[in-house]
Amino acid sequence: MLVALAVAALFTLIRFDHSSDLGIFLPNAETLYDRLLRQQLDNSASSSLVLIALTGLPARELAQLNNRMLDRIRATGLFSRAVNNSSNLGADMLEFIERNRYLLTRGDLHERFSAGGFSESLHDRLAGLASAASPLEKQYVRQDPTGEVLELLEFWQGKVSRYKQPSERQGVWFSRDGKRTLILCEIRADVSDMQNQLDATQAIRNIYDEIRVPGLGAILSGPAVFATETSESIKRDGLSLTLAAIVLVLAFLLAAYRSLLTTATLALPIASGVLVAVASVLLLFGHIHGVTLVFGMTLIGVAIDYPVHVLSAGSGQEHSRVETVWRTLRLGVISTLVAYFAFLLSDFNGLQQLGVFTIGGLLAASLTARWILPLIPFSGNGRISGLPRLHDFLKRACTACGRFRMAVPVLSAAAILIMAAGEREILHLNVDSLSPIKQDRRVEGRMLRNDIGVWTGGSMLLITGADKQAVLRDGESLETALARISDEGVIEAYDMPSHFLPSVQRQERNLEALKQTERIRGNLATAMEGTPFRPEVFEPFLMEIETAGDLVPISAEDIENTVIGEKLEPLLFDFEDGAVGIVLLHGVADSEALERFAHGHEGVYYMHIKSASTDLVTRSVIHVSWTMAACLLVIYLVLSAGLRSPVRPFRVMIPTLSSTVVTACILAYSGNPLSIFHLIALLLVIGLGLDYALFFNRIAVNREEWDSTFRSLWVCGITTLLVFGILALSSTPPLRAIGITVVLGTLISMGFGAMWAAAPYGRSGS
Amino acid sequence: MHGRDHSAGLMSDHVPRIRYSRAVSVVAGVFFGFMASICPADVSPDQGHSAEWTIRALMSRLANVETASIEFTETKQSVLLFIDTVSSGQILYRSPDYIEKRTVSPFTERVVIDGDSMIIDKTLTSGHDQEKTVISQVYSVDSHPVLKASIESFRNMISGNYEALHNGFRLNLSGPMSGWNLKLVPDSENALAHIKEINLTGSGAFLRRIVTVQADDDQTILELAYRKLKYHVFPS
Repeated sequence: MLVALAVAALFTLIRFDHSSDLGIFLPNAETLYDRLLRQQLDNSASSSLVLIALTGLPARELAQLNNRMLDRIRATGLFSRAVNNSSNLGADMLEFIERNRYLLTRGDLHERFSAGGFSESLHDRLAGLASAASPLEKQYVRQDPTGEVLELLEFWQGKVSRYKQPSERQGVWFSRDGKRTLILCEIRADVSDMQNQLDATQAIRNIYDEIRVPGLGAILSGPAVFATETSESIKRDGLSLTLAAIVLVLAFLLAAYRSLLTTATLALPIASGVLVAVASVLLLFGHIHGVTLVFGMTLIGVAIDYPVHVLSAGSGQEHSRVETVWRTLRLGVISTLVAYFAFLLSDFNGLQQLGVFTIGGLLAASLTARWILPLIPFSGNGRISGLPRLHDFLKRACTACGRFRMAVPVLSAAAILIMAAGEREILHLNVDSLSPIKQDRRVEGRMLRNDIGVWTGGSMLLITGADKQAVLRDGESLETALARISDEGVIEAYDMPSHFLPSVQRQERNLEALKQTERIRGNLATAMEGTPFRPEVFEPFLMEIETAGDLVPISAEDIENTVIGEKLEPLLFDFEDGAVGIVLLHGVADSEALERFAHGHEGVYYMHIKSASTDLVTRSVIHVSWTMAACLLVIYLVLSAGLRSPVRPFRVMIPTLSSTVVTACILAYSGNPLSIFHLIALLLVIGLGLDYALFFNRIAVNREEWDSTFRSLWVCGITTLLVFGILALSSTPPLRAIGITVVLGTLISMGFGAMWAAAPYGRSGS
Repeated sequence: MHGRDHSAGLMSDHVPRIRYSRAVSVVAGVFFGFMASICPADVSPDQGHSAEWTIRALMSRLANVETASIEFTETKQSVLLFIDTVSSGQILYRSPDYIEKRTVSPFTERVVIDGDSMIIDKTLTSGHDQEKTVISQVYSVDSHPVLKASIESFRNMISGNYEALHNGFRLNLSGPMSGWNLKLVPDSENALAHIKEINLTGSGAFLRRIVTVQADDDQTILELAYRKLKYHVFPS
């Protein structure tokens, strides 16, 4: 009771970190490139984005519902931006652009205000006046003969990204096929606080419920929505599955032990394990990831075996028998701990936490089982007396297994051969595999981003510099080169920070041109000769440039929290001691050319997020694999010390490793290439398998002892199968992966353990 | 010049020989009825009478046009310029609110007005190899008051949407059926800031000329010649 209370109290104290579930299983980045990749994966820029699509009705009705929904979303005040078409620039921004057009312009005013430049501009103005958009052209032509405002408006107003312009119907965004209408919002509050993501998602869902009409369907997408769904599904799964697991396991243990008290006692080591595990992670890291907690709990589920084995030794008085069981159990525990030590040595922050969690938890659980359990008077009746038919059946099965000893090496050799020679992908190293988001939801998300023309991720150039201005200047010096590779077809298009805001240096240069009023007057007059423009048309422009020299260059900080600032922010940000600018690349045709491009420019990196992150995961997995291999060596040494023989460890390790290999092979060939989560689960399988093999190989004194050992073995096995079988039903991909892996691994470990066992009393002794 | 069976040569003087001549006259009727309804003197209580155009009857018949193909010549007179700019091409209409205006001379431009959106495709030829690139711009008509006034009036006329037209303009009809003139003056201050008035002239079923006078006295003169007209199979 006290323990349960303490656990409950601790849980309430835990602050669940949001830090993206994906990121914590990536290694701590060492190089600047890796750190930038992590930054981009965490994607602070778009993590506050929510995309909404309404479907299922004719366009006209969808558009109306879209507008109604947008109004209500705006009214919540939870979103810093909520838009459903490309024209919501706002009067403020329009005025800002008009006033600062000569600072914001992407052109070179020395060039534009030359006689040739004016001549070209006037030609464009004439074409504009003749076109369908002539009313817009007329609005600005007198003040702005070089067309700066229209150029900026075209750039700012039309597009979310410059690359693609979403299509519009009835004044709102629609997918090209007209089936979906879209809204894009950005959460105002800090999204690193999970609660804000939940609130925003819930608000949108409520609004959808309010406006809902028959036939209407909706797709919500975006990191916050996914995070909410994941947390909900983990919570839902967590509650119902935990409940189901508890009920099933309790029912099974009750049936096996026929004693309520014993069953309760069995929970004691696990409870103390969880307590110590959480406490040690909090002590060492100061916080615990939600993911660590979920996985950690499943991993120390193996500790349910400890009291089962200890109790099999009989009542508390029989210290000598407890001691002999403990000797075997101890080996299993130490080997498992060594395996988890691999986590500690990994450079994944999440895995390190997981290592501390499991090592702390298993130590506490095993020590509780060994030293505290026998002290409890009612734990005396630890005999497994229930389910006699099952026992007899399993015993026969076990004896039968013994005849297939050679199946173990044959099957594992076959598995290795298949995996080595087969075409199938064994490891799933894509970053997506780390994500708890379901595949179809990710596809939907990509579809909506594509509809609106939000950059769908992929390739970018990173420009690093001492500060934002340096990055902007460097970016500007790359413009010619970028235009060239764009012409060459290496990329289709690109968006870069200086498109949104020129460097102060460029702005100052343009100001200089603006101050040469006499030159401007002369050049304009020259250019106007022979054009149909009436002489006095551009007087307003000439009046304005008299004072335009007073303009002050705009910095990135000046436009924070404006529409322009918001677009610039994800492309230009402070990073560590300097700043980083991002050139988003669209339609990359030749990534090698981009590698060369980046190589040829100081401080410029080319990054293809998918392959770079896959590299990162691969490196990590290889690192973990080597550590695990080293751990296997240590486990061998521990076992040979414990079993006092250099040969005996193989009796234990061969079935264990074989079952791991066969499990991996079956998974890979049944359409589940191994992700990090499968690998973690395989580690658990190794721990379980070692336990089983150790107990299968125990030299029993007599038939009765073998019998009781065998009983505790199948109790352990079935408990594990129940718990992880239920986990396999989870709708959260990582949990399901772990569940399936452990169920498969446990079955195979049990079978191989029985097949390979050296001298089971029940077989050779009978 | 003219389509064979379904075409009506409006620019020519002879009577259009088209199969749907009854329906064509309906189009003309639409405009006349339209004007009639807003000029109390012209309103006839006898709406069914063919000699008198009542706006309701006219509009409902205009609304029967399913598609139309029209040649246009547009002349823009601007205070900014000494000379007029003249362009020409085709207008395609599909009920209820799709309008495509293709300019072919002296520049290439395709404007599609579909629902609330206006898409302008400009074909630019650049470089030494005269490479052609199409630049597509999308405007939401609702958010551009400047564009809205002129586009809405044209669309509501051609689609026979009396309600919408009546909501935006004061309407004034004059002249006989063979040479009518309809004057639209915007109701709202907002629209008046951009457009002073729109004068439409036509004969019978056909719109012939739309003169839009902007707030700064600039004028756009759109001259139209119907080439093809198709009606809904089951007129409402």
